[in-house]
Amino acid sequence: MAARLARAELVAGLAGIVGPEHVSTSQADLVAYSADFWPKAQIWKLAGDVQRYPPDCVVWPADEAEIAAVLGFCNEHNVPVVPYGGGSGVCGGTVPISGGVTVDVKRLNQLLEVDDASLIVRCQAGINGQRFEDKLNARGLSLGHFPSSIACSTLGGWLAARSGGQFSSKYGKIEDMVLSLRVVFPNGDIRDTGVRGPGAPDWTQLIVGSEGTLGIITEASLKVHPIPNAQRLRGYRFRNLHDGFEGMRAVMQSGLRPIVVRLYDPFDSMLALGKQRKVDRHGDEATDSGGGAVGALRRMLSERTGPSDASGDKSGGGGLLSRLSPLADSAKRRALTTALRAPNVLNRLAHSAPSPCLMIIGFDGEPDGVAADSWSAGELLAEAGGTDAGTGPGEAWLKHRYSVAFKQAKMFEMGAFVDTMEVATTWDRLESLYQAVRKAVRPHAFVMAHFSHAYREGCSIYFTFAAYHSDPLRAEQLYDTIWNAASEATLRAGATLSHHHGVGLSKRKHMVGEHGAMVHVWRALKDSVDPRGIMNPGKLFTDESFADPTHGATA
Amino acid sequence: MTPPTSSVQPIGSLHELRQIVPTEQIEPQLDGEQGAGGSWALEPATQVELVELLKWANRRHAAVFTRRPRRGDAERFGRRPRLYLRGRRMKRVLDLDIVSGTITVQSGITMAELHNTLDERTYTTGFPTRPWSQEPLGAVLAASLDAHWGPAYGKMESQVVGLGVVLPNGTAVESRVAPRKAVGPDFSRLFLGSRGRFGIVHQVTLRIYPSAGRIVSSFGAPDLTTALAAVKRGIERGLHPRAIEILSPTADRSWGRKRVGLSDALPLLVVIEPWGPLAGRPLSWIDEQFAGALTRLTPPVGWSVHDGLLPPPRAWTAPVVGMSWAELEELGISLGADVPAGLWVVRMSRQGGWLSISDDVRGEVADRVRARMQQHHVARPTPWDDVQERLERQLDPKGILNPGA
Repeated sequence: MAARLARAELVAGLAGIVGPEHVSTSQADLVAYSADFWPKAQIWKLAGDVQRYPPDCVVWPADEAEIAAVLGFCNEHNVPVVPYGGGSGVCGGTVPISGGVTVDVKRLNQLLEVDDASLIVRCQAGINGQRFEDKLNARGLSLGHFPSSIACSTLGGWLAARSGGQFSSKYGKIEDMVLSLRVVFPNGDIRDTGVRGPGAPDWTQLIVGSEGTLGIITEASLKVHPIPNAQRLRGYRFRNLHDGFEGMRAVMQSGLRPIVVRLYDPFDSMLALGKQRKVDRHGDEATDSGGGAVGALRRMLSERTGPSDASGDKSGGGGLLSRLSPLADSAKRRALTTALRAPNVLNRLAHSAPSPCLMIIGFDGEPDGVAADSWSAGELLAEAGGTDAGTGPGEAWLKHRYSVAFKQAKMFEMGAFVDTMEVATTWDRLESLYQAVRKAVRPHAFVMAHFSHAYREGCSIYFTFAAYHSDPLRAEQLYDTIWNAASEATLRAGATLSHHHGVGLSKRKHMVGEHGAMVHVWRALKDSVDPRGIMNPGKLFTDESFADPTHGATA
Repeated sequence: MTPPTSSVQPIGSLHELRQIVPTEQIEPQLDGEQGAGGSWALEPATQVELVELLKWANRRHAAVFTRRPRRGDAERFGRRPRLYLRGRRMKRVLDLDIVSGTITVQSGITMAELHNTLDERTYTTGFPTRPWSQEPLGAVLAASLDAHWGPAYGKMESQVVGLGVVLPNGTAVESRVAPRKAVGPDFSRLFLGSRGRFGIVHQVTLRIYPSAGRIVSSFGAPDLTTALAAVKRGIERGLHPRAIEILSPTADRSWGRKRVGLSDALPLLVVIEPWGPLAGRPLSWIDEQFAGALTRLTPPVGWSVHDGLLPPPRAWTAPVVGMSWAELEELGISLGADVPAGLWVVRMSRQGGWLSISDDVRGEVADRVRARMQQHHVARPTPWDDVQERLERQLDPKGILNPGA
């Protein structure tokens, strides 16, 4: 095996491929590419460790051929490669823990082909999500994929991490939209998964979700849809979560295809309904949680995870700050940290508040179909105990659904940290999963949840947890403790650890628990296309996952 | 009492196999030559038996097949012992989860048995029973045979939400059942469609759907272009049916096209089955949308008649090719008013549909269709062959599982 190159040799070699202006070793770039939106990396930064894992350099290839040449060069010299799209991941999937070259694919940003007759498009992987959607909209089309990171993520990143958008109940996740893709393997080979011979597995689905550990996705063919002529969202209130689950399940199993169905747990509903009171133009009465400790807690956390950011995939603390704006910074900080120092008490207070559970449901399509489907869904939800809450909650959610995706930093400025966990399971296990994770996290962090991304056979639960520790080092330990507790509870409940955020670094140590002996398949796949292990090393699975071949066996 | 065995079967191997699978489930195959490693058909019943058989095969460098014995196997594999696994004892229904709408079964269950089980509870998998009714589910999935119903069900592979597999080295792996995941690649896809090269599927969890009364709307169309345009417009207007198909009856079928109201002027049948009372568009809506462009058939054609219009299941060996709408429309234009018998466009979505034509239909028009289909033929070697071979070597270094598949 060849020794790794000195940085100067590496840069010279790469500059020969992409041009010197498209290779960087500047300090600003190395800091920027040393982390993504992983909250743990923000904790490092707060502790003064601003670039724990910098890459050796960053390159911006212009096309597939340059990517192939870059990978061939790195493979020959045994240099780790980290593919990079928008850097919006929340699991550390692009953190270059082994250094090496970060390959940013944003220059591959062209919409290559639109087949209007078949509603199929071919697009390069580095295109920004919102720009991709804008280009489609200009032709009267839509992908139907709206992750809350849409403004700062790329098509390639969506594919690499099996992204899910807010309208996944109808349009599916990105793996449901992709028809085929092109991928560059470490040896420089370029393959198209659209060519599936007899007796071959579905390579598209074996590359999607590989988080850059097998190769770099350069383009994809995807299904698109005409922009719907009508859209209708509506809120429903349920006495408790169980009734809400039954309503969601009834709708999804009836064959109806809502774009979105979201059910908030009691505390999250309280925030949502509180916020809705401000914007509801239809006079729908909302529950007021009243005064006292619970009221204070609601006011403190209101807007942070209401219909606005509960929609999103990266919760933040912006609303919290706006609530506290009249107070001095130190007072705000004290209020937050004092509350989060006693998470058990905080959780008990929050969940003792009487509140109905809010559901938002929406349909799109032709006006007559939307009206008919909304009516049918309303019948099913009423049968499950739901009462109509008008259009206000849905409108509020739609209006604010992206508004907090980038405000996470403000929560960190307050000295606390916040993270989200999106697990999924079948309907029969959903309620027990919710209880199990809450119980596991409750001693360590304030936790609340909503249920979204509903399908015929199950649903995702989106937990938000917030915690605080005055010592940055202990804060990191606390962060790990929370994740370990939540992950183990999830696996014990028979659920999957991620619905759409991916694995990256944050969940990799639990992947043996998730996949069991399937790690053998992963190892074989990895060794088949990346025998030198240069592609995004250390992601998805830890090296220890393979130390004991019987570990995790389910036989 | 020792059961009778062929004099050419090595007693040592047989003795070891009896420790794994009951004696009565081991059937010597009398195709071995003197001194060969032996050949047996076995019927394991559990994952544990499968695991032990594959471990045994690794120790003995045996060849393990999930197909029937073929002439020439003995010559081809020489002194290697050969095991032919049958799934007839792996037919148990392990779980029927009505709440989540899933069923977990052993892979040896036939499609007919699976649907009989579900029919009793008014559920269906959405898979067609007819073409492969006697095939085991595992075989259907390993061959990636595709569903013939509507866009609501998607591809057959997409209906699998959990899989239990035994790898060639005897390791049992199982995927976690969840509606969607983002925990790496979908490893179960490696085993779907790959014809048993990478592992033996022994357990499958599938989505199930309520099997409402099978009411269909049926229309006659003068040509393929008109039929395609009507279907496309319907889907664009929100039609998301259980099933939607365009077909022209084959001449030899007893039902005949006149029986269902088709004629030389209306040679194509368009059948649409809506979802149900609450979801999707009702029959009245379908009727309204399609009656303008197509001719309503009265009385409507039921599914039993539809089945009668097609060749018998066992005779249906013609390839089925996925085509985009643009390609289907091109085909329609190229055919003009000509419609060959035995044409079949199924599983239509807004992106396209799957096209096939009966093997026994001859003539210039049929050849034009076949020429279009031929353009989709993936010639060997494919760009993925070398990757698959490397992967096969990783998972099955001794080459014991379905060698030569």
